[in-house]
Amino acid sequence: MITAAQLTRADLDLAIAAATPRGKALEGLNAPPNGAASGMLDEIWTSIVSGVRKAYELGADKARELANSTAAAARSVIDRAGEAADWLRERLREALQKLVRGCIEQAIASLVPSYKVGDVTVQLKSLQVDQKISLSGEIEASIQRVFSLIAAGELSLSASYE
Amino acid sequence: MSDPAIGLPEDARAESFLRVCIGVLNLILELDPPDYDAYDRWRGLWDPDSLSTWISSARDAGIEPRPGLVSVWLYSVVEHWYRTGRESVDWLETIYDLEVKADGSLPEKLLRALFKALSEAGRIDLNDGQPTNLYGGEGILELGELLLASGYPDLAKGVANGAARLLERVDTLCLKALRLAVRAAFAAGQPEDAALKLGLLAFHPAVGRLDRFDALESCLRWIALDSRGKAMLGFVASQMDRDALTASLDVYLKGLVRGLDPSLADYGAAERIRPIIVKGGITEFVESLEAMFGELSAVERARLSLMPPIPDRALSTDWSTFSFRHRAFERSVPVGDALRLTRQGEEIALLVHHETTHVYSMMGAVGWALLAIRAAVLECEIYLRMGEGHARSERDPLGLEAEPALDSLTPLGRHEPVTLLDVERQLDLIRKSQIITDIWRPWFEGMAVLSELCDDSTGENVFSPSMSVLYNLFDLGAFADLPNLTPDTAEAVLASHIEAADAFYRATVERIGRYRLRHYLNDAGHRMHYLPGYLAVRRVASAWRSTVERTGGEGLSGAAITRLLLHVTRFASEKTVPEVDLPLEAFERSGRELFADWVQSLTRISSADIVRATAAYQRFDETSAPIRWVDGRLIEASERSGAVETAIFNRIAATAAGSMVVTNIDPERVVDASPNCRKVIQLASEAAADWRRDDNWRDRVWTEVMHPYSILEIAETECPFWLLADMPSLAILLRTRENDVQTGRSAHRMISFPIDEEQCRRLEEAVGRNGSGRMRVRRVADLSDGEADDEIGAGRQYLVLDYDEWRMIVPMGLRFTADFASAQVEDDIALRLAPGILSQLDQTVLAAGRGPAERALKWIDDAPDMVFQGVSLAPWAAHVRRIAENILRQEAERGAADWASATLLEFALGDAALAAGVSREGLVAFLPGNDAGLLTAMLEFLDSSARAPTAGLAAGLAGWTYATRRPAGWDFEPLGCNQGGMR
Repeated sequence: MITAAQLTRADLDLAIAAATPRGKALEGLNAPPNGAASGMLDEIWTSIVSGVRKAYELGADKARELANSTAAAARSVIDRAGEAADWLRERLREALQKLVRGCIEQAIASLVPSYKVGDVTVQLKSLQVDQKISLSGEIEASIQRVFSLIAAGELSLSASYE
Repeated sequence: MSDPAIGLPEDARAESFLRVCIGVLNLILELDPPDYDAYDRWRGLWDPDSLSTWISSARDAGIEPRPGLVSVWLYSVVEHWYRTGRESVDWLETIYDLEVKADGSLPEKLLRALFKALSEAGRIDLNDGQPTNLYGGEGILELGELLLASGYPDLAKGVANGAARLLERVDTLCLKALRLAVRAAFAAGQPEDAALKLGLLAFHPAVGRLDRFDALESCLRWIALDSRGKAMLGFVASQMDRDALTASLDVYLKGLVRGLDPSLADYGAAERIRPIIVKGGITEFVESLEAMFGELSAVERARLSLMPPIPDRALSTDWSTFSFRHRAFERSVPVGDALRLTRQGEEIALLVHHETTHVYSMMGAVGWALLAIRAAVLECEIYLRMGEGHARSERDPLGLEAEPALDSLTPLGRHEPVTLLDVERQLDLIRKSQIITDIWRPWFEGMAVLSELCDDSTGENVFSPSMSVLYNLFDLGAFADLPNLTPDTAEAVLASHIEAADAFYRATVERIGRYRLRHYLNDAGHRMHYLPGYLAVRRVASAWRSTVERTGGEGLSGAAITRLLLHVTRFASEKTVPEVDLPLEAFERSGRELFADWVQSLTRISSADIVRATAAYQRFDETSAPIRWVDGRLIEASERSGAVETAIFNRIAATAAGSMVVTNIDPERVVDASPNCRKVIQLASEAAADWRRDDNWRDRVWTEVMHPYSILEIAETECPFWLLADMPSLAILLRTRENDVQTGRSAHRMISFPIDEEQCRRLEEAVGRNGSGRMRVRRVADLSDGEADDEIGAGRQYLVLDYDEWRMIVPMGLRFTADFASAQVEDDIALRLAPGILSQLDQTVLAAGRGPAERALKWIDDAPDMVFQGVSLAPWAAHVRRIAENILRQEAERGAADWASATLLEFALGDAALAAGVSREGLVAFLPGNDAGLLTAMLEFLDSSARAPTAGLAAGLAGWTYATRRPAGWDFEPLGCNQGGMR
């Protein structure tokens, strides 16, 4: 059967928290290396998080517009990153992937593992995510896809019960 | 011939070794001529059934078995072996201990070493070359090392060559033997022999990649084109054809071509740069060096590629060494404008500024107190090692010179009260150090972040010490071609250099500063490390700006605030350190109260003092009168800062050393102790007090261990060099950056230094002894608080060039008033770069404080029911155990650091609930809507207002309680807090 797994706001927040890049806890008197690029990453990521939350609330119609403005802001920061631009793209791609994975995992966790039909209980046997979400090194396109996925608020799944 | 299959004694491996053993015996006989009459009498006592007591039998007969005498006998043994084979002397190993009088003389040492070497050689199975026990073979090498160290390189070389043959199938030992043979050949003045061994070493199957490279390089630079050399060269060249790792060394191979075939004329430049010591033809040599620059740089790049990668870790300033090292400077030394030309050079500059601020912060009252406590911890360690009965002398009151190994923790001794007392004292002091560093860490970090990002002193007449280090990291001429320096032009050159350095810093902060601040303050993993201290120093900064503005003064720049923060942190914090002989809990309580009061007190500094203290750090060409802070007020000081720091050190060190011995002896600190246990505690204190009265050694600790902390080692590398003996001068090919901003590869620079005749002679000798064509180069900064006319301190920098025992120190950076380092700086550099035994012990004991705690736990666990004369000391031991556990838990619990962070946040915000919210959520606690744009606006406001109050404010921040408008502009400041205390 084809079913839809709902992504709640709480699910989204959990996925965001898990995907947010964070430095390792520091001891002693330290200064983290790559601080400027990490600060740029933080600025882009914070705007992505703010954008996807709005997209989730406002729906698919607004998602494209929000994604465009977020992607433009990201591009602007990356353009200023100089020799750190590649590093920045790679970390962003990783974070977006984690966000997508987190959303899928949270949504799937909301599915009921079994149905009762009359006296018969059918168990979830297998599951397939129908939506294709591939993230590339092209950050703008990746941001578009992620916003689109989250703004939909649900994932289309093929679930097999027996 | 005992074993035809092996071929003894014809076997060349053993034969050459035995020959050199005869040589060693001849040496012993020369050094300790024997009494042959006594030998004849001793020989008459020979009993093949009592071999193990054969030597002692001499003494029984009234004959002293001196080394010379025993050597005569051993001579016959070796000869017998040589003539009849090894099995005829297989009894040799049954004599385990030479009962020769241990008088430390060279003949005695040689005899023992030779006996051990022979004994081990006798056990090597020459069929497969494997020693038959774990230590087999090491003894042979020890004999060679002893001969080399004693000034007998020819014999050492012979032993090493023999060992290399005997042990040729034991890779590790064979490599050791070859290395020894190389060193001995150089020491014997036979570089051509050394080159042959280097060739063998380079292509030994077990040699490491970097060792191969270095050995081959030296081989090619020293090889002589005699018949043996040519044969080796053929071998080496054929191996190089198959070895991509060493292909770049072809440059030296080319230098040998004309030697092999004089008709070839194309390799003159390569030929001229091959020797390490260059004689004659200076002009041609310099031209050759320039012509070969590319190929020589390729050699350096190839060598660099063989080194293991440096982990990408957070840069950290170490409380125990007052130092840091950026990974970019672990294998390259910046000179000229290298910092600008390296990838991430801007970020490296800011990191260096950040960490240098930490080091300077440590070099103040708090750091001196910590050093004083460490001196007492060190004293405890020495007592724990020695026990009461250890011999001391007036000259060496703590018996340091009698203690052979001060570089590691040793197990504790008997479970007795005085030992337990010293263990408690040491752990108590270590824990107090932890408490101090925990309390201060958030403040230090806040100050370093602020300092890193707003220390732009463009247009100001003064600059901070951290900025001074950064200025000096660019050498004169880095920004523009250097004109001839005369007193008339020097000032203008200096001014333009500083202007250019300021411009570099300013552009850096403009480009990446706000992003770095964002990472510090908003990263979920880091923010609680930096945010509380940062907001607290901003709160203080706003108070200072407000104070000055209220009295009609000009607004304070971020750079001025940076200087003042550093000044008060270093010099106005003496009273924040509690009395170190307080009981532990009271110490921590007091430490927290004093720190919180001190932070509050900073907001009350008068306008006049603020203005004056912001000028405390001067330009290089000016002097300043010493000033001191007393009870929050600035006064003229009668003494210079060096005297103040020594006074603080001595006072606290004396108090710390007396804790639980002279003061703080109340046994009530052990809560569960029985009356008798308390009495034992008291008696232990009295007993310790009775014989620990010497304080003089503290001067030595200060001079040898603590004072050299003013030298900061910034960068280090190894580089090839050429000694131009006829000029005389020294040329080095220095790696100045690992990642060039254009190419991404390492970049190099050829630098030459004039040297005097004496330096030249000593270096030439050292090269002859050592053979290596590389020297160690380090860049150091002098952070001491010298005045301008002292020619010390102020971030002055030096290149320290080391080769063997030869050293040259070259002033770098902005310094041009003298072309040599002062004697004080030379001494401090020497002690800093080669720490003495006290320093090593200090580092071992205090590196993390964990070692002594773990050792104490083990010691207590060995005897948890400690009893002394029928009295159970278990409660006391349990008390000590708790201190040890707290030390080990520090990283996990960070009680004092968390308290300090919470206190600083509340101080900064004036709102306990909001402080708790910020502690949980970070800056978004200020932003209920989680608006990304507003967060960015807030961070940008924090960034720009730190440098100077801003003219405008982002619309979204208009209602923010912490953005306050004063006449000078918008600033971070809790609304109304500077007009009448906190809300």
